Amino acid sequence: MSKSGMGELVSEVARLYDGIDRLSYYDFLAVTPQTDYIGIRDAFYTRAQLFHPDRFVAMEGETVKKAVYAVYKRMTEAYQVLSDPELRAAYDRSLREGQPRLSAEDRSRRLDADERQVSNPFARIYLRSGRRKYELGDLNGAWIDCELGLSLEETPPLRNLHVAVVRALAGR
Amino acid sequence: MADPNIVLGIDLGTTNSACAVVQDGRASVVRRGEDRIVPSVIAALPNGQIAVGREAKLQRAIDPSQVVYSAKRLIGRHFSSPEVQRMMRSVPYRIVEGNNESVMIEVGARRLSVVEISSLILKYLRQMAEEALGRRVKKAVIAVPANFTDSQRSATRIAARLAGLDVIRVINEPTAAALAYGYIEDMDRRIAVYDFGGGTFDVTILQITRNVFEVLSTSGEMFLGGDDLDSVVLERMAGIYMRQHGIDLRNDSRAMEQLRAVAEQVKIQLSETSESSIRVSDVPPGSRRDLEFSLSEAELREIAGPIIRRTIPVCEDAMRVAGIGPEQIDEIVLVGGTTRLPLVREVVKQIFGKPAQTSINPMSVVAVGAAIQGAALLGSLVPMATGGVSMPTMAQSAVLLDVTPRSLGVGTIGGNVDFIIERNSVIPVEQTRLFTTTTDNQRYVRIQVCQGESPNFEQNTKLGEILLTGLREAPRGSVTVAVTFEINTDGLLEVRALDQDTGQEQVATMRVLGGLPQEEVEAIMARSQQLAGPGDGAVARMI
Repeated sequence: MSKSGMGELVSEVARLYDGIDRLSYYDFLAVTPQTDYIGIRDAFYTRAQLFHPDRFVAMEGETVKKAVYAVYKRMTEAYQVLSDPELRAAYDRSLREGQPRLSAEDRSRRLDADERQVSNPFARIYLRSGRRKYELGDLNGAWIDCELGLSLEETPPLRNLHVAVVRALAGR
Repeated sequence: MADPNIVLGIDLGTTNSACAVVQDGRASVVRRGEDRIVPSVIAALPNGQIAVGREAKLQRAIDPSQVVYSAKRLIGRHFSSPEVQRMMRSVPYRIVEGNNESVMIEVGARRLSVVEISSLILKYLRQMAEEALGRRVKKAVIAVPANFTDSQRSATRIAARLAGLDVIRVINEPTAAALAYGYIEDMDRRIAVYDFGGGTFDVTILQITRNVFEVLSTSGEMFLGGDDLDSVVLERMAGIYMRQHGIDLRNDSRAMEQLRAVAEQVKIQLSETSESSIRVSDVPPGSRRDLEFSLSEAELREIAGPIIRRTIPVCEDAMRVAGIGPEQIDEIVLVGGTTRLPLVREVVKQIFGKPAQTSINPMSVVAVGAAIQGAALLGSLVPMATGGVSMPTMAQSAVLLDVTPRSLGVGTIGGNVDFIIERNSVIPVEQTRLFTTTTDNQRYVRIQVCQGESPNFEQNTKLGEILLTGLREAPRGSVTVAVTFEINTDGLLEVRALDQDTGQEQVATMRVLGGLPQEEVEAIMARSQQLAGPGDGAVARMI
C-alpha cells in the first residue's frame, strides 16, 4: 500500500476514534441496518484487512496505535453483535433509544447448552436464527437455516431443530 | 545496534527448535554449519557450564540426570498439574516444586525455572542467527501450539525476553505452517495441519476465509511422537544385544541412552533407504562389546505401524469437532520430523484421502511461517511472483486475523463455569460481565479464571485468579462487581475486576498459577545476568 493510502487510513482511524462514543456499529463496519449477516461478515473481513493493528505495527507513535487498537476492537465487537440475530435485535432497539453501543451487560448474552455444542460460529448463528424463526412460525425460514447450519456442522441441536421443523411443516 | 528490519521466526519445539528469517522477500532457515535444527535440550556439564542443543543432547549418553529435554511440556504449568506429575515419573532429570506452585528443574548445582531453560534455548537460537547473519537480532515472532493456554503463552514470552528478544507476535504453530505455504493469498480453504513431532502429536483444522485464520478444531496426544518410534527401535536393539551377548541392557540407563541416539539415526535413515545396518561399538561404554544391528523399512513399518496409526482416531476426532469430513479438507500440511517417514505419509493419505503437501521441509516449516509473519508485520515483504518453495510469497497488505481457540470463563458456585468469552471469537475481544455478592457483608470476591469447554470448572485448565477486596458492607446481592476479560492481538488475556457499586475502581492483581509474577521475573533477570557472567558468552562458548 502506498504512503498516501496509509495516510488516508490513519485519518479514517482518527475519524472513527473521535466518534467512538457517537458512531454506531453499522458505521464502524461501513454497512447499513439492512445488511444481512453474510454481508456483515464480508464487511468485517474487508474492514479487518484495513484496520487490523498489525498493519500499523511499523508505524511511529503510540497515540495512533492506541486509536487503531480501540477502533479495531470496536469493529470486532460490532461484528460479534451484528452477526448474532438476538444481540442485533437488542442493539437495534438500543440504537433507536439513542445508544450507539450495546451495553456490556446486554452484549454478554450467555450461550445455552445447545449452542455450546456447536463449534462453528456460523452454524451457531443458523441455530439461533432457525430457533427464532421456528418460534415465530416462519417454518420455511427455519427449515432453510437448519439446512444451511447442517451443511456447516452436523450437530445434534441443529438436527433436532430440523426434525421439529419438518414435523411442523408436515402437520400444516 | 540490532537490525530493526530483521525479525527472527522461531519454532521452539518440544524436541527440536529452528529459526528462520526473511531477507529481500525470501524466507530462509538459519543454519550453523550443516545444522538447521537445534535439539531443545540443555545439559549441565561436569565443569559446571551449561550446554545447549546438539552438545547437550550428546550428554544423554554420559549423564542422563543432567540433561533437560521436553521442557516445553512443563512451561506455564503448575506443579500439581497431571502433565507435570507425569513428566516427573518419566524423565531422568529432577523436577521439583518452587514458589507459587511453579515448576523448577535441578540441573548441575542450580535450580532453574522452566522459563529459564526455555530462554537458554531461545538465546542459543538468537546467537546462531546473529552469527549466520553477521548482525544483531532483537525482534522475534514465536510460534506456540494452538492449544497453548494464556499462561503458557505468557511464560514463552518471558523466556524470550530473558533471551534478549523482543517478541512482536506470538503466532499459532499450525497458522505459521499454513503461512509458509503461502495459503494466505488464496481463496477460502480448509487446511489440516498434521504435526507429528518428537514428543507430541497435534492435528489442527484451519479455515482460511479472506486471511482470517480460524481454528475450527485442534486435537492431539500429549505423549505421542517420534520418541516412541525410537523406543520401539531401541527395544528391538536391546533384544538383539541380548541374543548376541546374553546381557539385558534394559536396566542400564547409560547404555540405553547411548543406543537411543543410534535408534533415532536408524529411524531417520529409513525415511530414505530401505535397509539400515549399523555396528555400535563399546556398548555400554567401557565393556568393549559391540552391537551388530540391522533393520529394514518393512520391519520398521511393522513395529512402528501401531504407534503411527494412533494418529488416525485423533484426526477423525478433530474433523468430527470441526463438523467436516475429509473430502471438505483442501490441503494437508505436514509438520515435524516424524512426518518424513514414508509410512506416516501413507497413513495421512489414508486418513484424508489425498496426499499431503511436502515441498517445504516439515522440520522448519513452522519457523519459516513465523518469519514470514514477522516480515509481514514490519511491512518489509515485497510482493513477488509465485515461485519455488524457498520463496513463499504474500501480498504486502495481507493481515492475519486470529480467533481464540478455547472459551474463557470464571468459576461460579457449585463448581460450574460462567463463560465470558466463547471460543472462536475474533480477537481482540473484550467482554464484561456483572457479578453480585452472594453473602451478607461480603468484603471480597475471588474470581477464578479458566479456559476450556467443560461446564465443570475443575475439568478445564485453570489460568489464575483475582482477589478483589475492600467491598462495602451490604446485604448480599447489592454489591456489583464488573469482571472484564480482554484478549489482545497476541492472544494474551487480561482480567480486570471493578467494584461498580461504589464507583470506586479497585486495583486487582492477577495471579497466574505456575506462571511467574513480575517480581519473580525481575529476580530471574538479575540471576541470569550473574549466571551468564562477563561477556554474556558462557553459554555460547560451550557449543
